[in-house]
Amino acid sequence: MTQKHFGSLNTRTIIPTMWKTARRANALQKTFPSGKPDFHPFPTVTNLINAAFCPLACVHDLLHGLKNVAVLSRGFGGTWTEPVGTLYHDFIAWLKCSIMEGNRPPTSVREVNFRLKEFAMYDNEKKQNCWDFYLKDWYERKASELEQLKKDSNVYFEVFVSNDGVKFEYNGGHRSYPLYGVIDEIDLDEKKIIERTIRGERSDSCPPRPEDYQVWLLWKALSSVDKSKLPGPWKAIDFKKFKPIVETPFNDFAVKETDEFKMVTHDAYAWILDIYGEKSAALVEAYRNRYCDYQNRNEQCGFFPACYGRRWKHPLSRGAMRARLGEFYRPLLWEQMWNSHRLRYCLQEMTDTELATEGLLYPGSIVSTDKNILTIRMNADQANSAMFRKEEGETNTMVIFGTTSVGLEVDATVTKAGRGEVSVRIKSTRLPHFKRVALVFPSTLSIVKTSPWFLKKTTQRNIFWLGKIGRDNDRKAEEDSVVQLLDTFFDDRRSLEMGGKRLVG
Amino acid sequence: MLDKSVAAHLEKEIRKIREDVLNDRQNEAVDAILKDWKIKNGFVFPIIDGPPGTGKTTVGSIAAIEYLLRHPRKQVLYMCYTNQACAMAQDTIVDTLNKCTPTSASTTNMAAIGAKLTLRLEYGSETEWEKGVVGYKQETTSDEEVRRLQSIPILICTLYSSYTGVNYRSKGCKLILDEFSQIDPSLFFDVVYRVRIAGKEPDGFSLLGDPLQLPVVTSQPHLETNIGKYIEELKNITPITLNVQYRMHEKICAGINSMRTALGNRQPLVSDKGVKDRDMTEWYEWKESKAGKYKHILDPSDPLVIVDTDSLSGGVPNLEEPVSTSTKNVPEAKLAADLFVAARAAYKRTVPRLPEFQILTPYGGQLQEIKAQLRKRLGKEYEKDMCTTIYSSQGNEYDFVIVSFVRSNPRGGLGFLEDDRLASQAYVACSRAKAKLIVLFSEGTFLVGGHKVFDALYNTKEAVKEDAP
Repeated sequence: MTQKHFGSLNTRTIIPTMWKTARRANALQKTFPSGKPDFHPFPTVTNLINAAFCPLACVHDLLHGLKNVAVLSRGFGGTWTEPVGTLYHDFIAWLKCSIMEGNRPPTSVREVNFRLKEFAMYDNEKKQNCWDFYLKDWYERKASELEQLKKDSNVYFEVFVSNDGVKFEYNGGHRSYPLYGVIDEIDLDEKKIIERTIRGERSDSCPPRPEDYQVWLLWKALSSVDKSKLPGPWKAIDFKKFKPIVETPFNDFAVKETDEFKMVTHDAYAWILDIYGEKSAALVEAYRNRYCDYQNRNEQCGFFPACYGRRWKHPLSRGAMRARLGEFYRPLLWEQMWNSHRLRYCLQEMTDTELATEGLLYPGSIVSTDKNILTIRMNADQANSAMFRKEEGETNTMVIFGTTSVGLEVDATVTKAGRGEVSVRIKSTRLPHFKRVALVFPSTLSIVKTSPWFLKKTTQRNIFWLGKIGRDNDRKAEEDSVVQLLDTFFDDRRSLEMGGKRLVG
Repeated sequence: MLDKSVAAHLEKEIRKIREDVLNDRQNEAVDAILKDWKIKNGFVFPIIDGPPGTGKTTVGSIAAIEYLLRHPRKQVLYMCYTNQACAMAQDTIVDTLNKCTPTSASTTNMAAIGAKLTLRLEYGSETEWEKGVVGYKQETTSDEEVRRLQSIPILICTLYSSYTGVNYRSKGCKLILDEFSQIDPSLFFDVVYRVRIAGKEPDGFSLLGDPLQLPVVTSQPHLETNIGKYIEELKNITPITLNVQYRMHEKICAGINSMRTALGNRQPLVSDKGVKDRDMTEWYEWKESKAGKYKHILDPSDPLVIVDTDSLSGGVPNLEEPVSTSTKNVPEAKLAADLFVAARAAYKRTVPRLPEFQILTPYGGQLQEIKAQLRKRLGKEYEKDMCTTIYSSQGNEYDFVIVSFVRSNPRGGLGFLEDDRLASQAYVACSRAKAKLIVLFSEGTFLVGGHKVFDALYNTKEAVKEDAP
C-alpha cells in the first residue's frame, strides 16, 4: 500500500494562523453565550485529520456533523452502523485488561475466538468479520506479547490529552494551537503510544494514512503538555521519548516526524478557522480545493456519499430547501463551541481551585473501590452540591483520573452524595492508580439548561442528509409524505392548512 | 390493542367528554389533528396555540385516543422536549381516561386501560413496566421490550428518541409534538429525517404549545424562532388558539393576561366559570391563627399577592450574591421557606387529595438555598420536590405557589431575566398557580429600568401589594 497524499497540501500557500483561545472571562463562563463565539474552536485530532485530508471533509465535519473521513461508512449516511474497528479495539483492550487483572492469557487461537464471542454478545456478523479478517492475525502476531503482560504492567487505554498550546514548528519558530485527542493505548513500560486500526494489509511497508498522522498528532500533544499539568505519578516521564506506533492487524509501524506533518497541520488549522467563521467565500474555496472530483473520485473516503450522493428529481423545491436548512449549520456549530469547546478551554486555562470555586470541577481523592463503585472524598460544600445535582436528576457525570490535561475520562453515575463523600458507578475499565480524581458535570448550575452538545452535531448531520433525500419516480414521489411535506414547506405554490374551521377573534 | 367492547364504550365516553367538557376551540383543535393530513396541493398541519391552563395536552390526549379508536391498527407517537414533559404527558393521557366512566365497575378499570394504551420511551433508563417506562439503549433492547414497543398504541418519547420511537411502529403513525415553544426548526427537521430513515410513512404532524412559554434554549439568534412561529412565517398561516383557561382564579389570570400583553399577545385568556372564583378554601380549611405574622400574605381571599422584599434590607435592594455560576438571595430564600411552612400549617386539607404547595425560582443557586432552608425547618417532613426551578415546572400546576425571583441590587439588573425571551420564565412561573400566587421580588430592582413583564405584573389592579414582614 502506498501512502496517499494529504489533499490539502496540494492546494494553497500555507500561512500559519494566530489562534484565539477563549478569553479568561469566557473561560470563567462570565460571558453570556450569544452568536458567534469570540474564540476559535478547540479542535479534536479527528477535526485536524479531516481538514488535512480534504477541505471539503472539514466542511462536512464542522458544519454537516459527519464523522471521520477515515471511517468507512456503511448504509446511507453511515449513522447507525458501528465500524468493526471499534469492536476490534474494544476487545483487545478488554483482553489485555483482563490479563492485567490476573486472568491467564489465552493459550490458543480457539480460546481467543471463544472470548470474543463472550465479549460481544450481539451482532454475529460484525463479530465474525472482526475475527476472520483482523483479530485472528493480530493474535497470532501478539500471543507472546500477551504472555508478558503482568498485573503491574503500566498499559492504559483511551487516555485523553487536552492541550491548549501544542507547539508546531514553522520557519525556525513555532505556532501554538489547541488540540484534544484520545490515545488508543499507552504503554509506559515499553514507552509506546499506539494507534490501533483495522486498515492496512499484510504486505504493507508503511503505515496506513491518516493513522500515521493521527498518532503523530497525539504524540505531539502529549509530549508538549507542561510537566506541571501531568498527573502526579507521570510527572517524571518524558513523553518525548515515547514512540508513536500504528498497529494494524498485520504489522506495527513506528511513525517518524516529517516536515509534511508539520506543514499540513498549519494548513488544517487554517481551514478550520476559515470554515468556522462567517465568510461564505471559505466554503467556495473549500469546494474549489477539494481533494477529488467526480472523474477522479476517492471511493474509500468516509464522506463519499456526502459528496457524490445521487441527485434526485424530487423534492422539486430542493434548492430553496437546502438554502433554508443551510442557515442552521453554522449556528449549530457555534452552539457546540459555546457548550463544549469553551469548557475545554476552561479546563485548560483555570487552576483546579478556580474550577472548583466555579462549580465546574469537583476534585477529591478515592477512599474506596468496591467493584465498579468508587467512593470519593471531597470538600463538604462540593459533596453537598453534588447531592443537590443528584436530587435535581443530574446523575450523569464524568470522572477524570489524572489532570484536566492528561488522564482517563470515565463516564459515571452518581449513586450517593453528601457528608463529604460522593459515590459513583463507573463502567469497569483499567484505571491508573491515581488517588486524585475529579468529577465534571456536563452542565453548570445555570437554570438555562442546554442539550448535550453532541446532539447538536447529530442535528447538523440529520438536516444535511434530509437535504439529500428524494425520489426520481413521480408516482413514488407523490406517495412519499416526507418528500411532499418538504415541497409543501419550501414551495410557495403549495399550502399548509390548520384543519379546523377558521374562527374569528 | 383494545378489545371491541372496551373500544365501543371508550368511543362513547370520549364523545361525551367532547360534548360536555371541551369547548368549541378545543373541539376544533381535536378535529384538526384527526383530519386526514393529505389534501390537494398541500397538507393539514395543525398548530395549536394553547396558553397555560387551556388544556392543550388534554386536546392532544383526546385526539390521540380518538385517533386510535378510529384507526385501531395505527399508532400515535407523542413527543415532548424533555423526559419530564413526557412523564407529564403520560399522566395527562391516563387522567383523561380516568375521566371516563368504567365499562362496568367490577371488570374494567380505566387506569388499567391507560396503562395498556401508553408507554414512555426513555433513553438510558431502566425499564419499569409498572411505571409505564421502557428504558432503551441501542443494542440492549430485549425481545420483550421490542414486542411491547411494537404493539403499544401511544408511545411517548423525546424528540431526540424519535427514530427509535418511529422505528418500532408497525406502520406509519400520527406524530404529536407538545410544547413546541422549545423546539427550534433545526430540531424539527432533524425529527423529520429520523422519521424518514425509519422507513415508516407518517400519518400527520401536529404541534401543540404556547409560544409565550419557555423558549428555545440557544446561544444563537438564528435558532431562537420556535418551529410553530417558523412555519407560521414560512407559510403565512394562523394557528388555532385556545383561549379559555381552566386552571387559575380570575385574579391570578388577570396578572397572567397583563404579562401576555407585555409579551406581545393581545388575546386575553378568559377564565372558565368553574375556576374563576376558586380559591384555597375549595380544598383547604383556612386557619388564620396558624399563619402568624404572615396572615395578610397568606389570606385565601387575596389570590395574587406581590411581596416587596426590599424591606428585608431596610429598603435598599442589595441582597443578592453570586454562587458558583448562579445567584442566590438568602433572606428571600428564608422568607420563601417561612411562608411555605406557615401556609402548610394554616391550610388544613379538607378533601382527600395530596396538598400542592410549591416554591419556584429561576436560579439554581437559589433553589439550593431554599431547599437547605426547608430542610432545616421541616426535618423529616422535607421532600425534595417542594421546590423546583421554573424551567422544570412547565406543564405542572399547583394549588399554592410562591415564586422567588432572587435579584436584588441597586442597579436594577435582572441578569438573564432581562432577555425578553427568558422573561417568559416569569409568565410560566406565575401561571402554575391555581388558587394562590405569592410573588417575592425587590421593587427597587424589578420596577426600575422598564422591565415590561414585571411592570405589567406589578400593575395588575387585582394584585395585592405587601411588604415582607
